[in-house]
Amino acid sequence: MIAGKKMLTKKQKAGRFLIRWEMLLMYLLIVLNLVLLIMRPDLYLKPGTLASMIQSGLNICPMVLGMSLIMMMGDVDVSCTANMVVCAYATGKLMEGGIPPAIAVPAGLAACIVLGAVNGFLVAYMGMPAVITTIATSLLYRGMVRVALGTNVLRVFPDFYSTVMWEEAAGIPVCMILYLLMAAVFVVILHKSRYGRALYMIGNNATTAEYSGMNVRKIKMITFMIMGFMSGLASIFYIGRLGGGAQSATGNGEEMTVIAITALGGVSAAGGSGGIYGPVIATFIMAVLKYSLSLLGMDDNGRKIFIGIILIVAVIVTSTERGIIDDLKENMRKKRQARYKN
Amino acid sequence: MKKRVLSMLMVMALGAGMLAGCGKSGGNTDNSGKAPGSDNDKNVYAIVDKNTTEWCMKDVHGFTGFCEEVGYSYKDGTVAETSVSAQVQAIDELITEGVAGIAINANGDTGFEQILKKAQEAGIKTCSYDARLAPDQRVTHINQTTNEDAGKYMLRLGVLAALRCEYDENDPDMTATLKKALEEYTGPEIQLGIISAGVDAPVQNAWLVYMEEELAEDMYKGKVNPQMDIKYGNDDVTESGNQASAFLAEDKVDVIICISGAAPQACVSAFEGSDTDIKVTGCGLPSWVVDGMPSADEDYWSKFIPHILLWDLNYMGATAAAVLEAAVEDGFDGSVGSKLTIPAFDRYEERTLEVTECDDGGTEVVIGAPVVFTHENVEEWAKIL
Repeated sequence: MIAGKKMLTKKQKAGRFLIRWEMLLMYLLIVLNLVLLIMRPDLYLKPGTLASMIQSGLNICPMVLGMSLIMMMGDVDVSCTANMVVCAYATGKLMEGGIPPAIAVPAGLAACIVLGAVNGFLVAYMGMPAVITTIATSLLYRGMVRVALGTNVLRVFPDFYSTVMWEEAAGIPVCMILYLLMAAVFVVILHKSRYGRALYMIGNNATTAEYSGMNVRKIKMITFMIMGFMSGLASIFYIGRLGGGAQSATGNGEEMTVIAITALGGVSAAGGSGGIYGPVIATFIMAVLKYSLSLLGMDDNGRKIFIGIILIVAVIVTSTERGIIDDLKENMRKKRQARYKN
Repeated sequence: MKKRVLSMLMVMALGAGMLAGCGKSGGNTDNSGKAPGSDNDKNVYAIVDKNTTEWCMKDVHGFTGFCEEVGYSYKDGTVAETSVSAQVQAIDELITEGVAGIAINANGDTGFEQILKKAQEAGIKTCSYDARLAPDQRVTHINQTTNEDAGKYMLRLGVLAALRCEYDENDPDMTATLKKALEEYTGPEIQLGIISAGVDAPVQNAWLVYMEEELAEDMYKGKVNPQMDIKYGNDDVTESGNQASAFLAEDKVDVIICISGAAPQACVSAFEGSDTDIKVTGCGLPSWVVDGMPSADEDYWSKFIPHILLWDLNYMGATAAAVLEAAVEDGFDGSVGSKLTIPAFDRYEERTLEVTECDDGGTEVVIGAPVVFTHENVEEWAKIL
């Protein structure tokens, strides 16, 4: 197999690269932009349209990065948005009490890491299924905020929250710059560290990973804590998008969008495959798709159906051990071999 | 491989069929026929309602129907998901499209600061209806009735139902009837149950404040428990149905006052076949509750909903469109004392409403007192609302 890889020509390598899932997503992103450019050039070329599209879709982006790691292990965290609301609550409440942002924001993030650790402990050390565990903790965390906040609204948040989601630096949305920086860190973590390699191994076969000497429980625990931290960071983006206001129902249901983007990004729900580039591109695809479908006159329900279809296709392609792209590659290889023999 | 391709094709075919069916239903329809942002366009007015339920679509149909009849261009940006975040996105899209004005029925009382600042910077006029925006975010607010009237009327209807007193149209605010009935009442303290929308629903919370204020009146003391049992159904039929079933199972309340659109409909389903003495009232679409109410030839108390109220949702949507047109074309600024003329359309005659001060420091246009439906008029109103 290794020998076979070495024998690949530059052309073959380029061919393989061009049909990678991430590249297919890039094509889709380009096509979406072209469709909007052709159908509504007046709107597409209007200053600020592209920035608006990007800003509209990045309010949950930090959670996509965290979810990518979780799903790579074959798990899922449904409690991420409830966790996000806890962070918003902690930060907002402290700031209402006159605590400066330099303390309130880290305190909110710390609360999220603790809640992530609770998830991690239940999944990794108690052996509970991640889906059930995080559904339960989602109810628990959001319920706690509901009880504590009641019908009140938190309105005191640091000014930089709104800056993150509404301002631009050199014409580029600030949230996009931050997202790409965070993604770069995650790429390094996933591809250049032992921890990243361990995630792939656990996702492929946790038992084998355990027998090969990995501390699977510890790695799971750390990953859920990272997810908690990213949910906390997401509260900055999400509350910023809403101009600095939080209620107990804030972000309700957005966890499904997070999971959907991650799946669309090529992270297999079964674990063991995927990366960071795919979910990052998928975040932009979802932003452009939702926005542009509206500009093209599709109603909100129609958009949901359309996005649902795209997700089902993505899951069919990526969830099996060898997706359609692999099958295509295999068929191409067989045909080449047959031609060579003839 | 073949199975996967086949399943993908099936999903795509199914989706294509569904998309073809939903393109013109509900939100984001427009009659402008052109790109709203282009210079040659007439002004386009947009509406963003809370969600695409039948209740909210009555507002939207009022808005779009009025626009069509008087010749305005419109766009419907109503969201499918009941959240502030979805509405922020919808407003952002409408700003990009360059609409002239946006009427918003807000899903929450916070979260619109930045997006409406952006709209104002783009020269777009915004107003709110039903659930209001902050004073500096709107030209004015269109209220079906004052929050005080809505809250107090619903509470009084609830107490009337508990006392088995019929609504008397000669005593529209019910105070005289209630005072007399409460004076004569010698039974145990009446316990009221409430099914509201969400814990953070601004309109319902405002009503609850006025309901509590009404309960603090002397005539209720010792007769009605001032502590209402409030449950939240998230303005969802299933969730509200669960809360209605919980009330039935607990059997502690004498009457349930539904203060969200989905709640009375949920009660109709939950109470069907039950022989409970609990009565239901509040606010509800006549077409949704007609099955739970007696018909004109039946006894007033023969079914579990004796009376219920509502306002004209169609007219509220139409008023929102009239406010936007007046703000964009005629310089209407929504200041206290200014007048708004709504042209005649459909079955409505021309009407002039005056802008009044709102209890949040802004201004509002109040359409009028709510309409109370009883067995005598519910079937007629069910054809309209």
